[in-house]
Amino acid sequence: MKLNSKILGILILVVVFGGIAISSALGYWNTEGGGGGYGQGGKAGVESGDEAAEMVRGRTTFQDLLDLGLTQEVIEQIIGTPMPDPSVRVNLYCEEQGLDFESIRAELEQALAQRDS
Amino acid sequence: MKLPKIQLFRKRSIWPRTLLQLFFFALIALISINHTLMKSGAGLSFLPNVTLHAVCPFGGVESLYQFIAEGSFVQKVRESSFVLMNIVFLLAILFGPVFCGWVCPLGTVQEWVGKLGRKIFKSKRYNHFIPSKLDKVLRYARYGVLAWILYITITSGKLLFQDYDPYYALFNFWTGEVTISAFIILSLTLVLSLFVERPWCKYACPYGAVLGLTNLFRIFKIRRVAAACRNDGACDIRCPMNIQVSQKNVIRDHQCIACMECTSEASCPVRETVVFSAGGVK
Repeated sequence: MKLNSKILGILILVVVFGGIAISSALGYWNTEGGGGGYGQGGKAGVESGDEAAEMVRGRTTFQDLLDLGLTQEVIEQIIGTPMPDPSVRVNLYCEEQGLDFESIRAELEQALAQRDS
Repeated sequence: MKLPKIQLFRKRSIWPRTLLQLFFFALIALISINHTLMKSGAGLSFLPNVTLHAVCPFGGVESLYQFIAEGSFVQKVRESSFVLMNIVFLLAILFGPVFCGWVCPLGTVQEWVGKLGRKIFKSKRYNHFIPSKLDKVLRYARYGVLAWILYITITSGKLLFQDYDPYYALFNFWTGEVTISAFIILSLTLVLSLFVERPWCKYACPYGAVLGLTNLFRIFKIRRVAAACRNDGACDIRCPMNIQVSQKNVIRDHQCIACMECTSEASCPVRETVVFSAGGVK
């Protein structure tokens, strides 16, 4: 069976985008951080209504932190730099600034806990 | 005795490949630019806000050990990388390293620079500067690079290769996140591309090393019909990876990138003589 370049080109596109579509339908296509293991994508983030509401996760943005009641001053104190655009995700900002997300997250969660006490 | 009639036609380009290369280059460039713009809230809404790591299948390879051992991924690598790695493996088992020849934007950029080199040095001289004995040995260096990357990734749990990765440098040079070493390797790759076609792919690419192994068992292969071959060497001259296509009946070389430039659809002047097929050819 012979293939010409046109057919091969089409097959490549079908396999790549078909594969992405299938994995997306099965819940495996996760481009966000914080998922941890295979098939756990999309579970990170700030959820409201339970204890997890205050947790800083992979999808948490600076806007989420402001919405949760942290002030810009407190956030800037923790990250040690001026706060970027609120739509930026905290983990990506830490990654870009060379900051350790885990320790920043711990401090942010501590600040969230102190806010309530 | 009457010789069999040989049908000749002029050299053509594999335009679907050019089209796909352009498409994937634009897609990755747009995704990377969009990610930067999103930080200031000015991104393109029709594109996802994802990092370059999330759409790099090699991240999956780097994470493989950690995934098997702990069920998690190396820092910065996403599940999507793992999915893409599987898709690229499937393509490679079927058609060989088409990711290298048809998709990888770094390979595409090297080819673009190489076109200039080909114009300067002409087809016979370009891509033939390195003595073949040295070249043969250097071709195995990429397995060393692969082993080193896997070692540093497994032991650290971090994507340390990012500091040396020319692909990351190419699509992030404006962000201030690229290290000097990555810039140097990218610059060296681009300058060398003027003399040697795809130098990074040939001598250093760790992902090419992995995918190249599928040339040994891939289903669709480049095959030469010896009875119709004129032995004019047109296929050898055009092959970006310097494979002596005219000396073999089936190409199982670990460096083949399945670009189809040697086939009768492009360089070979004799119809149905160098073909891309599964099973034997008549």
